[in-house]
Amino acid sequence: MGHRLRPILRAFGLCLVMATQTPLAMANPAETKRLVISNSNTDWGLATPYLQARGGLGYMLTHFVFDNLVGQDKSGALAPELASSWQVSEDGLHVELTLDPQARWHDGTDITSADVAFTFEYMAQHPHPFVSLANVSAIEALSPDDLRITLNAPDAGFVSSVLVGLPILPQHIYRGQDNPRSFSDPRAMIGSGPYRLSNHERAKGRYVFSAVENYYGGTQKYDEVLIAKLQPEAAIEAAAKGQVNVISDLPTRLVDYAKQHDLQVDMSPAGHPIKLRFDHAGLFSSVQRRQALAFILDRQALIDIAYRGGATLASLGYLQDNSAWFNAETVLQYNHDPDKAAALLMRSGWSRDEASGRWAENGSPVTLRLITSGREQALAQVIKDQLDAFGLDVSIRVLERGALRKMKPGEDYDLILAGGSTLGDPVTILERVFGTRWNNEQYRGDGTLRQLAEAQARALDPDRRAALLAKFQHLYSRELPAIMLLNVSRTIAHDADSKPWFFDDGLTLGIPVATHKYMLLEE
Amino acid sequence: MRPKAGIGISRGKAAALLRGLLQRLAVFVFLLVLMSVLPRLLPGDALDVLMDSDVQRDLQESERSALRDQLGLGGTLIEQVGRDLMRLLRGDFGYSHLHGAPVSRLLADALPWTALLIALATPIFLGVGVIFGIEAGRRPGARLDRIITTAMSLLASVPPFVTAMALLLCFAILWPILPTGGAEPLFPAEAPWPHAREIARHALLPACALALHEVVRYFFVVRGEAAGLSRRAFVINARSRGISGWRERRDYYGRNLLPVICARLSQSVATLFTASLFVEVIFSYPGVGSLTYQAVLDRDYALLQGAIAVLAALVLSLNWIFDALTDILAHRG
Repeated sequence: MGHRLRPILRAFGLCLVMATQTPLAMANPAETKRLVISNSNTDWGLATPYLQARGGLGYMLTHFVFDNLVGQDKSGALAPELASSWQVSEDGLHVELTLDPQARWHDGTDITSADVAFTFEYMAQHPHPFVSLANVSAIEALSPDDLRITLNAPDAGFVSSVLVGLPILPQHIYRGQDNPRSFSDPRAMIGSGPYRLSNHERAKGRYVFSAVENYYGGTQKYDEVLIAKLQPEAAIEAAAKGQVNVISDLPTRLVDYAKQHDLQVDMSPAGHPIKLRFDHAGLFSSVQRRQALAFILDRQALIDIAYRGGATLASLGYLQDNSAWFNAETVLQYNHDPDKAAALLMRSGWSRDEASGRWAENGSPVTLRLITSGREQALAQVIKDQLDAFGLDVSIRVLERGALRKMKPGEDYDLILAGGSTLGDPVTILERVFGTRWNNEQYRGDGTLRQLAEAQARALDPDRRAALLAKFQHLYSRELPAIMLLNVSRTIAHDADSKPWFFDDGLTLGIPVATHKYMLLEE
Repeated sequence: MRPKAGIGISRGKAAALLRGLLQRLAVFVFLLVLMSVLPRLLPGDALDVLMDSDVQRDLQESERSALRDQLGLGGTLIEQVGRDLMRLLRGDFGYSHLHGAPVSRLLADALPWTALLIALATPIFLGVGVIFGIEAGRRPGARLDRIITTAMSLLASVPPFVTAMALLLCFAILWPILPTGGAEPLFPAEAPWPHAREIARHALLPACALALHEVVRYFFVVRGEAAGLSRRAFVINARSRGISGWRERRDYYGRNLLPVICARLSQSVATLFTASLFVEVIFSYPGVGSLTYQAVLDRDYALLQGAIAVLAALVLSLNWIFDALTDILAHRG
């Protein structure tokens, strides 16, 4: 080629050589104590109660910036946060709280009971998506640091769900904000927590939180917490170079790879079992058929094939072994047993064609319509194979999440496969088992199970509540409003210095994250 | 004859240009309406997707409708679409509730990265496509032509997302000389030059993936045209006068291929923006492609519409400019 091209080519070559060399040094000033957490997901919104993205991580980031009335200690038990003490009255209708006099908003303003009262009123108008205040009848400030909350009915989970889960807003900032969902001023992020959001690059999914001076609740371990969007493979490489301290969402397939890079791996059941739910008004209104399915499915095989070890067997009594109320003894077991299943199905009115081995109802073959989302597609396929081997035809439909939510039991499906949380205080059982939302189990039954669930939610005495919940788990495993198939594991990797941990029952409302604000504070 | 700029455009040409502009404006408005209507016709409720979480409690119907209003999801389909269009007419792109930011700001953050990829990819595919195309077309059927054309045919048969992943595998994982993803290192250098170099290192692989998508098209177009030129008398005449090398390629092939390349460019603009979508997803590059992809999954109507509006405006106006240029160049002969 002509001599005139040569300098261009030479320059291009030089650029290429320069570009392929690794950068000489990274800018990491040694003075700043920094924790870097990687996450492969996208933007988590802003760290305010109304602008956080749906899902656990969005809530967790808000929780860095906004303290709640009640917090958790290392074991997950209730601990003082904005409220230094609280007292529930004997009848369970009043809760009196005393606020920590040292607590300040990030702009230096004192936090008073007027802020708390304002938050309750404001959130009644602008509902918090996770916390319901429907049971609160009144809230009065007794003094700048004391207040009393009055309830409509006793609620055993009021402290451990509402007070632990509800972020408190500064009255002087949020008063007069008609639409908090478009209030994204930096002032919207003035909270009371140990960190403030100092930088957020949305396109890159990158957050920088800085420690707040003179935090009333303790000393922060890090001056800066950086949350960066990185694919897990890249995050492991970066961690090996000392650039990342915690990988908050490690896929199971990379566990060995992370260990090879000297990272410590923690695994915990996410507390979101994958459930096989039913159309309770149709084919599966019969308890025998639900029990028969539990006997047909070889759940260990489901885990081995579809999750390759990234999950554990779930308890069939609704509550999982991480819950403080879990009671293994009362829960019935359904070990893989095709003969028992066949007997149950016969009793329910189905018959098996001797020649083909297929099941039929009144002479016409049974085809079960199973719907699921892309995430559980592999599991759905293995379930189909197992049911098929037993003689039951299954048709699978995999739907996008918006479409999945619009499917109606009976009309569109007989079986639905989806994950659902069991974390948080057991008052949530009422909604999750008996509610009518798409991911509720929508169970009716004869009403006994529901009465038990209501009784435990009102039981203020822990021993009585435990007894009621033990009974509930027994009955649940007999009636099987849903079959809790397996509990997918949540895995994180971290270096030797950072010490994230999972709470048994999740963070506050039951959020399975290990990189919560409590790991950012000195013990 | 070389017409002077501006003066060379006759009244008829100017009318045609204006017509082209009006047509594109009509397409643009149609696209805006379509992008407002289509996502809303997806099955499911945007509020459910937006609020989808396991800790989400059961909202009362009154709470839901209040939320719907706050999030701008209230009203009938026609009301929503009307609201969208009025807002866009005022130059307001709306607000993304998932990102907690105005759409204009999200786009302003993401667009430069996509523009960088396209700016880097353009010289690559133009250079490689045109140079190889001329080399192959200069002597059709010769050994060089056979080798290059076979290689390009092979490349053309591989889907572009596969070549992108192959690039990632080869140069970032098996032989890790380039970063696997992102636009910058975790801790960018503070000095401007090292920082620029880091950005270039991160952009190289996605830009190459984007360029490969187009190289093949240019190669075949240019080769075909060049092969035609090789049979033309003026080229044969020039060769017999001993003109060869750089001068032959530039003056006899290059100049005559310019209108064809330009015409092709007006189509490339659209395909490049489309291709940037999968390239950015594969390389986790923070451009408009990744943003749009996520907006589709999240039912982020405002963001989706804003991104499409900006991209469509860019594509249509560039397309118009290149068409006008092609016209002028073709007229020049």
